[in-house]
Parts: sequence; structure tokens; C-alpha cells
Amino acid sequence: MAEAQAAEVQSVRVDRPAARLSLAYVLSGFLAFGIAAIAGLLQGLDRGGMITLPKWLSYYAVLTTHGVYMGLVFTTFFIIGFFFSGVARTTGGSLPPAARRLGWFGWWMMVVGVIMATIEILAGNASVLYTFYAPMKASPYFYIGTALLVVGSWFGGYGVFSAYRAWKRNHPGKMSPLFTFMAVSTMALWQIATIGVAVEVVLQLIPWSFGWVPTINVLLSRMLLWYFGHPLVYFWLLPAYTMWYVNMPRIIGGKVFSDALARASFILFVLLSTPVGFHHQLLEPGIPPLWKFLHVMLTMMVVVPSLMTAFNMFAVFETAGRAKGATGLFGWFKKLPWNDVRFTAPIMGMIAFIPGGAGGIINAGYQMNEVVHNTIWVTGHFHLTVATTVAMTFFGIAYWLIPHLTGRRLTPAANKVGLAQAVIWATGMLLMSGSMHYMGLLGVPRRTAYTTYMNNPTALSWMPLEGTMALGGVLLFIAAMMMIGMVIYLTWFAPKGFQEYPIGEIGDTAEATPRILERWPVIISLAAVLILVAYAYPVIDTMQNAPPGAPGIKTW
Amino acid sequence: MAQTSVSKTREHREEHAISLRGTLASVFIMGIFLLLAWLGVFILFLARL
Repeated sequence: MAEAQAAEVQSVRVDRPAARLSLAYVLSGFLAFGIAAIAGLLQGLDRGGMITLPKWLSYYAVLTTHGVYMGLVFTTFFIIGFFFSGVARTTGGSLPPAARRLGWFGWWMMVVGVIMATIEILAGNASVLYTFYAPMKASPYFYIGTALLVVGSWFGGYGVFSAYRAWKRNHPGKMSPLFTFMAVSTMALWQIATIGVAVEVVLQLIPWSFGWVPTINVLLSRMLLWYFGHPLVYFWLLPAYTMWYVNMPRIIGGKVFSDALARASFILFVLLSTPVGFHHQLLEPGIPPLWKFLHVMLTMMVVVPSLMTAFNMFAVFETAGRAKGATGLFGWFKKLPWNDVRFTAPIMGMIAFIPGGAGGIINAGYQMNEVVHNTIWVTGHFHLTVATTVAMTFFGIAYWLIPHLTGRRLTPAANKVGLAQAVIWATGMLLMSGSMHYMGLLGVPRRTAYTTYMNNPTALSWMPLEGTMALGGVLLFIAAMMMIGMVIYLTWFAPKGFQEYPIGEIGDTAEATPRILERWPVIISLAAVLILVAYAYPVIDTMQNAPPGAPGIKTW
Repeated sequence: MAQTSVSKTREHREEHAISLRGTLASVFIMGIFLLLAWLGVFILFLARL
């Protein structure tokens, strides 16, 4: 009886209107991913000294394209599409019309924004790199484009909230489905985080870029950027965690370890991921050490929910393995479905998050930051966290999500190609990110084009590592193109059929979830208090005792 | 009567007991790795003072 019920739950299909919306987001994300991969290859080969870019194509324009398209466009589109599909799947198979309308409105706004920003980058008017740090000044249309991308994503979030509210109205007194709760938490975090960048772009960068004001408060602009910049990392990570907590147990034939633990970790992220931005600015003059210290302390606290997630995943794997008869301390490891790309791609990402997280803890400590600040170690770090952990989880999702939405199947042959793609990506990243980490410890700077520093012997000794980095980049490009091929295949050419949208059931031994874990007024108020504690004084101080304003600089 | 209740509770617990020895070992190994990585870079910082 229970098995029949479980089978019925797993047979729920996302209906056509919700699938179309979700697919529009996911495919736009992969289009951006393909473009970003081409830019990444060019960048890697040029930086490694393998090729020389033509005069009309600046290294920094290519870098900006790669960073903006990979970090902002691919991720944001994919995340919203994934959440729309999962919210529909866990709330009965469809999205309310209001949620869909908000979703489509947001999609169009994001597309228009991306096109505007792209034109300006390609025209050479916005080579301000992915962080668009002032006083480097881009065309105002680049900033307007990125603002539209962000505001459009807000509407995606409103769509998720609207579906959640409709479900709550129809199920008074009940806890929401875990996936939907996680989508709401992540989009709430995104709303809070993007306030910083929206204020920076609208009130500082755009007026300054149009020439309405002659100078800009650089310190304030960077504070606002990093108010957004760190929770952005969690905006990338939380959808991956959602997959690990909710979808992964079903894929491996196990159960969700604890609904309460999963919700508690997401709430901790909502609370703690924003008031930590100064750990990106530890070497920034103008911020008193006490405030840096406070942000570092809060950063160390945001490690806790990630450690909770690691514990949870080990427990899910071990429980599932032991239920299949595994013995010994690590016998369960062998019982995992290593030949299933839906599992293998994400777990490679999870494993990468162990050194990725270790690097993050190193970056956030003041003394260690002095060792790695502005070196290519940092580039290696976020290629482990975002481009391995998050990207490989997204690949794993795409292998079942796209066929589910298009009414097709992931065939055994496609699964094999997927496994090869995952292995090539992981190997490429091991070479590229590994050499970046090592070079960073040697002091190699980031954000620079190819240079031998006038044939300085120290700089020349880095060259073999630069070559390894470029080789890793080539492997990554091959894996990226395989992924694009798979996306095309699964969207238009795979055989018709039903691909399960895996949603894990809560384990039998899990404790009941306390109701406080869904009290949004309490959670959001606490988040606001923490943000005020961490930012109110430094921001007011930076405005009242502003450094001299900076005119715009075009460094390219 | 009280004894029966205690033994029932124990039975109930045992029924639901799952071994998480591997999880415990895994999180310890991960913790040691985090610590060693941190120490490594900290030593590098001290060496460069």
C-alpha cells in the first residue's frame, strides 16, 4: 500500500504550462553557458600563453563575458527554472496562473537585460570584469542591462512566492513541501542580497556613468557590491543543496534523513549569508578592523549549515547503503549508484566542495587572506565551488529535469555520455583549479592578461603551471560542448517517454519538524537585525566621512 | 509496570536504531582535512612574515 502510494507520488508530472516556463529558463541558462564556455576557452588559452587574441578582441572583454555569462546569466536562469519546476512538482504538478505570469514577465526582463549588457561588452564599452568594480567605468547601458537582469530575477522570485502562498492557502496549518520551502528560502535570500547591488547600480553607477554626477564613492560602492557578492555564492549553492537534500535520496534509493535539519540549515543561510561581506574586503582601506572582525566571525558561523549539510549527505548515503546490505565502516560507499549520471555528476561536485569549503575558510581569515588576496588562488577557489560543485550538480539535474519537462527519457546511451562528460569536466577542473590554487600560493596575480613581467625569472617559472591551467581549460571546453550536445538531445531528440522527477520521502526515523522553521516573519526579522548590526554603522560612516570621490577610469 | 514501559521504550529505540558509524568517521576525516588545509596556509603566512 505504502509502495503504491510512493509510486503514485513519483509519477506526478509537471504540466505543460509550468514545464514550458521552466524549460524557457533552463534552456536560456544553457545558451549562456555555451557562450561563456567559448569565452572561457579563449581566455584560458590566452592567459596560458597558448594563443594571442586578435587586436580587436580584448582579453578583458572576453573575461567579462565569461564571468558575467557564467556567474550571473547561466546560474540565475537555471536556478529560477529549476525552482519553478520543483515547486510545480511538489505542489501538485502545476503552477497557479499568477505565478506563471510573473515568471514569464521576469524571463522577458532578464532576456532584454542580458542582450543590452552583451551588446555593450562586445562593443568594448564594458570590460569592467565580473565584479564591475568602480572606479572602472562601463557604459550606462551595461549597468542598466545588469539591473534589468537582477530585477527580472525578482519577478521569478515573486512567481515562486505566489505559488507557495496559493499552496499554503489551500493547506492551512500544514508545513510546505521541503522542495518548495527551499525554493522560497533561496529566493528570499536573493531578494535580501540583491538590495545591495540594486542600490549600487541604480543610485551610484548609473548616474555616475551617464555623467550626471562627476565622481563616485568607491568605498561605498564596494561595500554594497559585497553585501550582495557573498550571499550570491549561497544563491548559487542553495539550489545545489536543494537537489542534494530532496532529489538525491530518491535517486540513490534512500530517504531524506531529516526534514527539520534540512530546513534549519536553509534558515541559517537566510540569516547568516548576508552580514559577512567584509571578508571580501579584508585588505580594503577605510573599513575599521573591528567591523572586519565582526564579519569574519559571522562568516565562520555560516560554515555551520554547510557542515550540517555534509553530515546529512553522509548520513543519507550510509543509511541507503546499509539498507541495501552494506557492512563495515565504509561498505555503503560501494553501494552507491556510480553508473548513474544523475548521481555521479552531483557527487563529484560534492567531493569538490570539501577542498572548496576549506579554501573558503582560508580566504575568510585575516592572516590567510593576506597570503591569497588578489592572487589566482581566489579564481581557483570559485572554480571549485561554483564551477565544480554547483555546475556539476546542475548538470546532474539537467539529465533528468530536461527530459521530464519535454516528455522524453534519459536513455542508457545518453547516461554513458553524461558519465564521460562529468569525468572530463572534473578532470579539467582538477588540472585548472589545482594549478590556480598552487600558483596563487606562489603569489601569481589574478585579473591579468598573459604577461611574463619583462621575462622576470620568477614569473617565467610559473609558465608550466599556466600551461596546465590552459590544458584544464581545453578539457572543460570539451565537457561543456558535450553538455550542450546533451541538452539539445534531451530537449528535441531523445525518445518520448516519462522521466521521473525524483523527490525523496522523509525517512521513518526523522523527528517531527518544529513549526518555528517556517515562521517567515521571525526569520526575516532576525535576518534584518543581523544585517543592521553588521552594516548600519559602517555604511553611515562611509557616507558621512566619505573618501574623495573618484572620476571614472577606462583601463582597457 | 514501570519496568515494562522502560523496556518498551528501549525496544522502540532499537527498532529505529541505524548505524551512522561511517558518517561519524567521514565527518571527522573531513574536519581533519579542513584543519590541515587551514594550518598549511597559516604556516605559510608565518613563514613569510
